[in-house]
Amino acid sequence: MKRFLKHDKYELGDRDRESLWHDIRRELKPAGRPSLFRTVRPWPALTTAVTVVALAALGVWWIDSNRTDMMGAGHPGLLGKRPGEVVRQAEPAPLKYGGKPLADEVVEIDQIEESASAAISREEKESTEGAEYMVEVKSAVTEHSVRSETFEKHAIDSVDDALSKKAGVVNRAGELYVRGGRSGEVSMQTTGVAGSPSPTVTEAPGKARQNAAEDAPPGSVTGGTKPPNDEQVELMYFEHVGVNPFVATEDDSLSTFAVDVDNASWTVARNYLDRGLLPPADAIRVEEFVNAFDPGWAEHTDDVFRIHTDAAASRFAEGYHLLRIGLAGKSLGDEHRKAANLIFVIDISGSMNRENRLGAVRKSLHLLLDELGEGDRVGLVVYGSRGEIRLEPTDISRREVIARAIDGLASNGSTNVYEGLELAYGLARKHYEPAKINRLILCSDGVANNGASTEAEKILSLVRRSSDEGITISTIGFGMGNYNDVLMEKLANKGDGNYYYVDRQEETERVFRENLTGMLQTIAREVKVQVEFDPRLVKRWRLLGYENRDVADRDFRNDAVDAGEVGVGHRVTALYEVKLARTPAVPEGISTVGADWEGPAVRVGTVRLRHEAPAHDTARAGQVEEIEQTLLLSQFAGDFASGTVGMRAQAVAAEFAEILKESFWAKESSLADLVPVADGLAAEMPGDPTIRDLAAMIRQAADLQDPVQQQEK
Amino acid sequence: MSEEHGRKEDLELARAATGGDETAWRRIYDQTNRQLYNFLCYQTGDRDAARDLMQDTYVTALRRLDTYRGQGTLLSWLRAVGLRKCLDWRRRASLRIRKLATFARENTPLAAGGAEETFPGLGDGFQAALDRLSSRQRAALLLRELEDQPFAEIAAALGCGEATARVHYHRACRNMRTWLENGDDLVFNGNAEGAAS
Repeated sequence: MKRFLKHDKYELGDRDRESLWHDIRRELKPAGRPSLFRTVRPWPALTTAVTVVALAALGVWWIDSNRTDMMGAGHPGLLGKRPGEVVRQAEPAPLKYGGKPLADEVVEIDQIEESASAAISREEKESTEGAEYMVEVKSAVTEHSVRSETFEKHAIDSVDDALSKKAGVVNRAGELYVRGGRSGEVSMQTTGVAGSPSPTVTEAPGKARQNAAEDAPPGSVTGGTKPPNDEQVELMYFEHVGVNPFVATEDDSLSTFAVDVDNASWTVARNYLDRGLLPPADAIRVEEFVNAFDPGWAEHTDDVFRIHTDAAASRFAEGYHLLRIGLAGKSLGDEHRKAANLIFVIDISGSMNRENRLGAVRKSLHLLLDELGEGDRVGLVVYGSRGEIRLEPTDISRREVIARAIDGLASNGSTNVYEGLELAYGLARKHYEPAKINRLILCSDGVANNGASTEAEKILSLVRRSSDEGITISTIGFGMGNYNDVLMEKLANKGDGNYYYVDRQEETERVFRENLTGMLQTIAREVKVQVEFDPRLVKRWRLLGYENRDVADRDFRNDAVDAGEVGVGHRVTALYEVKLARTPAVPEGISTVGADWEGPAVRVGTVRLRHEAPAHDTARAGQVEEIEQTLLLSQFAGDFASGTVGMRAQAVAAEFAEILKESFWAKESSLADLVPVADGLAAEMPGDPTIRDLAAMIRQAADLQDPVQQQEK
Repeated sequence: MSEEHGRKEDLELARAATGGDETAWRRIYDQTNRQLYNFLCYQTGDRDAARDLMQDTYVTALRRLDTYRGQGTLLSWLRAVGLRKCLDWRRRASLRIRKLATFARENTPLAAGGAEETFPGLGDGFQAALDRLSSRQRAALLLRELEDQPFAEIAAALGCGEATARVHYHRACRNMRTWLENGDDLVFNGNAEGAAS
C-alpha cells in the first residue's frame, strides 16, 4: 500500500498557497466578534459592480503596464488614466435599493483595500458532529477585501481569472458560478458575471448579471434555483449557533438558560416554505418552533409564574425520554393592561419598498391602532438616510391624526437605524411616565447600512441603556431577500422586548390583536431557568434549542446577566431529551423499564425559575423572585402516544426544526416519516391553525428536500 | 529533531499564536500546509474540496489554538481537525452535489491548465479505489499508511475506540487489495460515486 501513497503527490502551487493563506488570514482577522451587522455598504450590488470595474481596471492596468494589447480600445473611462488610478463609475443601482448614485470619484489604488469589497459569499460550513464540539458564531456571508499588493504580486489576465481564484467560484466554460449550497445561503451576486472577454466594463454590471443568470443552463452549479418573484435571494443574515450536545449528568448536572418567548424563526421558515424554498439551517431556532404552539397549560391569574412539567418516551431514539418544562406567565384581561406610551420607529429606507413591505407595516400599524384604548399615546419616528420625528406622542383620542401620519409613510434613502432609534429614545425619554408601559416598536427589514454607526455594539448599547431606564423595544420584521434576522433578534433581546416576524396578514393579527397585551406588558424580566438533574437517575440530557440563550450555570443567581423577558400570558416551553439510568443506581423498588412506575415520589431533578419584576410594576420594581418545582420519576412512565396534544405537537415541531437545522441528533429522522404524525395531529385538532400549518409545512419541506438525499438517509 | 522536542516546540509556537500573533500563524501554516493539503486531497479525491476544507481547517484551528495541549504534534492535531471537516463534508454533500461536481469536472475545459490542473483522481486507479472506501476506512488507511500514526491517534482523530479504528483500517486494506487486484471496471473508470455508500 505504502508505495502508492506519497507525501508529495498533491501539491499547491506557490500562488495558490499564497492566495489560500490570504483567504485564511482575512477570515481570521475580524475573529472573535460575531458579525452582527455585516457592513452592508449602501448599495451591495453596486459595490460588486464597482469591484468588478475595479478588478477589470486592475487587469487593464496590469496588462497595460506589461505592454500587451489584449483589451484593445473601447474603454475610454479607464484607459488613459495613469496607473494607480481607477475610476469608480456611478451606476444606477440595479436592485431597488433606492440609493442615491455615487458621484464619479477617483480612487487611489492603495485605498481599494477598504472600499472595494468583492462581496463574494461562500457558505460557511461548521462541524456540528460528535463529541468534539466547536461551536462558533459566524454569519452566512463574508466579504472579501482586495488588496492592491495582492494584485501587484499575482498578475491577473482577466476579470474572471481574478474572480476564479476565490474559493467558492467555479469557472465553467468561461462563465463564473458560485458553488453549491442551500437556498438563501448562497449569494448570487457574482453568479454569472459573464466570462471572458471581460465585457463587464462597458455593460451595466447589473444587466450583465441579470442576463447571465437567465442564460445559466439548467443544472448549472449555481446551487440555487431562480429566486421567486425575480428577487435576488441574497444577503439574508442568520447566525450559526450550532446545536446543543448531549451532556453527561455526571459531568454537569445543571442546565441553565434564558427564556425565549419569540417565535419569529417559525414564521421566517414558513415564509421560506411558502415561497418554495427550504429555509437555511441557520434560520432555525428550535425553541421558537416549539413556542409557536399552544402547550396546553391552564391559564392562571394569581402567581406571576407557574412551572408545568411532563414527559413521555422520545421519538428521536429508543430508550430516551422527552421532558417538557413549561413556564406560564399569569394572564390578565386586556382591560388590566397598563396604559402605554408607544413610539413607532419605522424603517422607510429604499429596501422597504420591495414587496410592499411598507404597505404591510402601514396595515399592521392601523390594526394596532384599533386595539389601543384610553390613556395610550402614540408617537412616530421614521428613518431612511436620516431619522425624523413625524409625530410627537399623541393621545389615542386623536386617532385620526395618528392614522394620517401612518398613511403618510413613504420610502426613501438608505437605512440609518441608529439615528432613528436615537431620536425615538429621546422622544420616549421626554414623555416618560413611570407608571405606564414605555415601549418602542421597531418595524424594519433589519438592514442597517448607513449612518454614523452600523456597528452592533453602539446600537445595542443604546438599546441596553434605554431598557435599563425602563424604555423597552419590540422588533417586528418584514420582508425577505435581504432580511437581517440577527439584528432584529438581538435588538429585542437586549431591549427587553419581543421579536416577531410578520409573513402574512394572519400573523399581523396574531401579534397585534390577540397578543397585544402580552407584547406590551412585561410581567417579568431577566427570566432564567435552571434545571438540575440527579446524576444517579438521569444519565444524559440535551436541551433542544436555546443555543443562543445559554447562561453559565454559576450566573443563574447573578442578576446582572441579561436574560429573557416574559409578557402577560406568555408561555415558554423547553424540551429536554434525557436518558434515564437503569439499575443499579435506581433506588430499590423502582423499575425504570416498562410502565410499572407507580411508586413513591422519586425526585429526578428540580426546575428553578428566577425573575425580576419589571420597571412599570412600581411596587416591586427590581425585586427578584425564585420558584422551584420537583421532577418526579413517575412522570416518565408514558409512551409518546399517551402525551397530551400540546406535547406531541411541540415534540413534532422540535423534530421538524432539528431536521431543518441539520442537527446531528436528528440525522436518523426524516421529514417523510414526520408527515403522517403531523397529519394525525392536524386531524385530531382541526381547529388549531398552527398545527395545520405545521402539517402543511412538513409536507412542503419533505417535497422540497432532495429525494436522493432522503434515500441516503 | 526528536518527537518530544517537536511537541514542545509546537506547543510554544501554538502559545505564541493564540494571542493572534500573525507571524506565528504564518509559521504554523508554512510548517504544515504541504502535508495537510496532500492528506486532504487523498481523503477527498478532489483538489477544490481539499482547498476549501483546508481553508476551513486553518480558520477553525487557528481560532481554537488554545485547545491544543501538545498531545501530539501540531500537524497531527491539525490533521484531526481537517479530518473532522472532511467527514462532515462527506456527510453533508448529497449525491446531487457530487453529481454536479462530476458534471463540472467533466465539462471543465481541460485545455486551460493541462490535465494536472484538473481532478487528479481521474485515470488514477489507486485514487479511484481510495474514493470507493467509506470516509472512515479511507481516513484510517491514510493515517496509518501515509502518516504512520499509531492506532491510538487514529482512534482519537476518528472519534472512535482503538479497536474500531483497527477494524476500519483492516477493512480498508482488504477492500483495496480486492479492488486493485481484480482491477474491475469501477475502479479504473474514475467513477467516484461508489464512495457514496
